[in-house]
Amino acid sequence: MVKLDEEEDEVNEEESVFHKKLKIKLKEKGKEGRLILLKDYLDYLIRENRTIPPDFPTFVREIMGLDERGGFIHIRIWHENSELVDFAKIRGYEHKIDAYD
Amino acid sequence: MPMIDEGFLIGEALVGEEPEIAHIDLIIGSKKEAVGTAFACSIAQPRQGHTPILGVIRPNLPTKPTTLIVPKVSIRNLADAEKMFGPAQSAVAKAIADAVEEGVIPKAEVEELAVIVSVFIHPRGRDYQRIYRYNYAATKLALSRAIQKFPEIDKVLEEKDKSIHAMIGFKMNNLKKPPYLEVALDIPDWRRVEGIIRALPRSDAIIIEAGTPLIKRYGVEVVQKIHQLRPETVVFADLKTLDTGNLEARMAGDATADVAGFSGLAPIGTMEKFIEECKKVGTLSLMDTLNVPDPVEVLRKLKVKPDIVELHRAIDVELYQNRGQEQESEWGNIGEVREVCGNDVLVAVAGGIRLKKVKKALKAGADIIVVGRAITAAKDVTGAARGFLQQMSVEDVDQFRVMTDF
Repeated sequence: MVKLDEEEDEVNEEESVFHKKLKIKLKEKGKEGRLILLKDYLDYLIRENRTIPPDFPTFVREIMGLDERGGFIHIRIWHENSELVDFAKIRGYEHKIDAYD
Repeated sequence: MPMIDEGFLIGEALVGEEPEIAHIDLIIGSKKEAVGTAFACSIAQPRQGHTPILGVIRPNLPTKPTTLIVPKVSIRNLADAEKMFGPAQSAVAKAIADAVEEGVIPKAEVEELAVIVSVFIHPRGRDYQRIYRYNYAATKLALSRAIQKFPEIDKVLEEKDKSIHAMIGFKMNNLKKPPYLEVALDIPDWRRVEGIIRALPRSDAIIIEAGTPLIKRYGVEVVQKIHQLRPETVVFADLKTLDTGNLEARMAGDATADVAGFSGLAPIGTMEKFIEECKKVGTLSLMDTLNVPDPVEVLRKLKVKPDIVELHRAIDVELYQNRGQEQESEWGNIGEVREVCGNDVLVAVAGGIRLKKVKKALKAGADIIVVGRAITAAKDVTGAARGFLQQMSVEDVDQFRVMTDF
């Protein structure tokens, strides 16, 4: 038996798992704006020949339920080059990326 | 003695740049045998869009040995036809005649031989100079390769696991150069997983594991999305299959998994079906020994052995141990695993591996170090992964290896 019994260097998950916010401005207010965003996103994925993200059903629910702040919705992301950021850039959505507060 | 005793010789070559890139497949052999029959049948039975034409240096001057040119891409209009009848036809014919002049084909045998050349011209190729030159060079190269019987089988076996096909755009990695770092993505949150994948260094030594919780939430299709982000990276679908071995292995293969995992607790028949199905679809099989009392005994019972054996400690056990209630981690006997499965088997060790343990695990004989939260929950995912790669002394030298002529 091989025994690997050295002391663990602990990972504090709560501290280390931080994320960012993609603040994206809807092209119209309310439900219509969200539907346009979702249609645009799906259109982008298909035209760019990207596999549909596996969390798409969850994403739809999330977008429809998010609060709107000054015309922006805040979406959690974990990388500044995520597919959503790419989408916002290519499809001309006003957006910015902030660290999570 | 004739150049070709019986049957025919086959050559292939890819030359040039897109869109005029030339790809030639060629066979040369006696008119009295298979090549002659194919030649006659082909010219007598033209197919729409793929009409075979004789290789002529210019109209009214066919080349020797007599050569038939078969277009690979359907000729849809006059513009396509002109490229084939003009620069490509002439280039192929000239290359064959030059090969005679240069002694590649014996002059005395030209009336005995026939050549069939399959020619690729991209519909977007427009530059006649380039079409001519690339097809000339590719035909010469394919012909000389045919006559040299290139490649020798040893060359094929040496290159098959490290070559990149120019038209795929990514390299298949068959895990022949351990050690590897397997990053286990057990987090059932796609956007977080995406962030981690984007932050991982691009190294041939990294394997991405689509963990069981991730697959349970999104389905095995998640593997395809991971491959879209990292086409060159080996992706392991950790299915932990317990039943319907062939069905689940096929599902993983269909979802483009490079490696698929089953549980060592499954019935022997299930495991064997899983491994056999993996072989069929070109996916490596992995046996997960989580909670298996005697993995070596299970391996002995298997008629077909998995490609990878993962000696695994459970996450729940890790947490328990981290609270100080248990001091030891046991990975199992790697030497015995190799004895049963053969030296080609890869052994992965999983469960709570931190930086300090890497060298010890490698020294114990591990080929794959499976790391989860130490990387995925790190503040600096890139740095954490690099730290592990450094501990493993992995150098990433092969990623941009480009094969040209030999």
